[in-house]
Amino acid sequence: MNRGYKQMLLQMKKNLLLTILGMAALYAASSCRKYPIDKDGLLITDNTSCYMSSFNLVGSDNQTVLVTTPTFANGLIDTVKCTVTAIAKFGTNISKVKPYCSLGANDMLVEPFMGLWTDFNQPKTYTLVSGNRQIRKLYTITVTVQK
Amino acid sequence: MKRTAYLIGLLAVSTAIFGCKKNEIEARNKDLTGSFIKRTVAPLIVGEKIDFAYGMGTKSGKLSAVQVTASIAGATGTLWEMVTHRTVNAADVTTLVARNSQTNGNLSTVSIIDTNATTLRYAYITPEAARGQKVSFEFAVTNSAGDRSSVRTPEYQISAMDMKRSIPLVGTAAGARYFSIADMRAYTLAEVEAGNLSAKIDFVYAYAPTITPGTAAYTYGHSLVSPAAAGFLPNGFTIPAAWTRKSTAMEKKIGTWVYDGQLKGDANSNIYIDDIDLQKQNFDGSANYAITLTNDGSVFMKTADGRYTAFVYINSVNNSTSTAVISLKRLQNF
Repeated sequence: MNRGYKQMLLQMKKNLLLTILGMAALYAASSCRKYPIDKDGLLITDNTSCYMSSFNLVGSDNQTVLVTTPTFANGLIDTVKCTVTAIAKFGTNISKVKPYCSLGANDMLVEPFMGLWTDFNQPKTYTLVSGNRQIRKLYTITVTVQK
Repeated sequence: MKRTAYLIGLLAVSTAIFGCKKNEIEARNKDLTGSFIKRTVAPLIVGEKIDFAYGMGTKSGKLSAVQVTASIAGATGTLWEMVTHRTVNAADVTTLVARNSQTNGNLSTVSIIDTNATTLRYAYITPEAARGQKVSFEFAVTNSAGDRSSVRTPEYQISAMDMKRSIPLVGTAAGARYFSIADMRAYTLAEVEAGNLSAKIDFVYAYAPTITPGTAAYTYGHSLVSPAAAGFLPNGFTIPAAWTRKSTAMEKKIGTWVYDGQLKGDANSNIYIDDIDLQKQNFDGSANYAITLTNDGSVFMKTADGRYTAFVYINSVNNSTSTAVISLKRLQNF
């Protein structure tokens, strides 16, 4: 009787240990990986995507000034040469436009920031940075106005 | 002890919530009371009305005299209405309840005919003397029992802007298409030449479906162009060589982003351009032309000498008659 009771206690201990180990394994497997963050508080991920998928310019009325929106698909963005070619409508005040772009991944960066009044009378360069911060590509954006 | 502290706290909170200004308490303690609302929500511009509604009631006798004292005397037209308004089936219905509405200097008075509760409207026409100043009002009512109730409004800031609405522009050779922001009016070619006014012209209005600066034609539409802006007037439209060619900075906007209920003449558009919008507008790198304007479009402008900043609103355009109607608000910077 006494021996049977001890065996039962031993079995319960084993079960408890297995349960705790199982839960620990599950936690380890399911818990989020802790990515480092950069000086701006943004996650540094494993993503290596680094390209511009579309580009736009808006004028003082917050409307696009471009005849055609350059995209990777229509060839006006060359992701190999890292160039963007755009044509602005007649009458565009190209001295004061705001650039915006879409990127290949959400965790990419653009340096310097877009969305600021910018003079595009001369080609402008922007550096795209991949999510893992290991790849940097210098894009040159050239805009000409219809004349 | 705890109960006492609780009661004191409750009393303090009640006072904070339900407490009134002194004059309101005085009025409510008596059998006579009056209260106002300011109906005008738009910027308060010289020459425009500030509308108030003053509601009053008495439990002793009848209402007798009503008055308002403005801190700065109103312009001609400042007056109490003698009718009270109510809405019946969405229609405004008025009933005569007062007589002898008069304004003398800062004081506007009216006598109630025969009622113990009513609401009257008071229209203050903002005078030139109030430009850029603060103005306040004291409303007061007396009843036949000799009681008096009064209430003072906060101070309201009067705009330093000028406003002019519905100015027609005609984009034909003989039309009024040369605009002076200083004068807030459009001149014809003959008027500019006769008065030697070219130095006053800040922009010209032009309409053409397209413009052909080279070999290709581009959309042009209704446009406002500085005399100095080369290449932005339609083919065949030239500024006389002897004229002064001023360059007015322009920032084009569209109605989706910038409205002005006063210039639009729409009581339901409670979005306005105010002094601060004209003060803060940045013209660094701005163009000196604004083309392809449409209804509800607008342009912030700054004159070449920096004296005026203006907001020009496009009320309407008409392609078939080459015309446009514009309105503007203008701030004098120095």
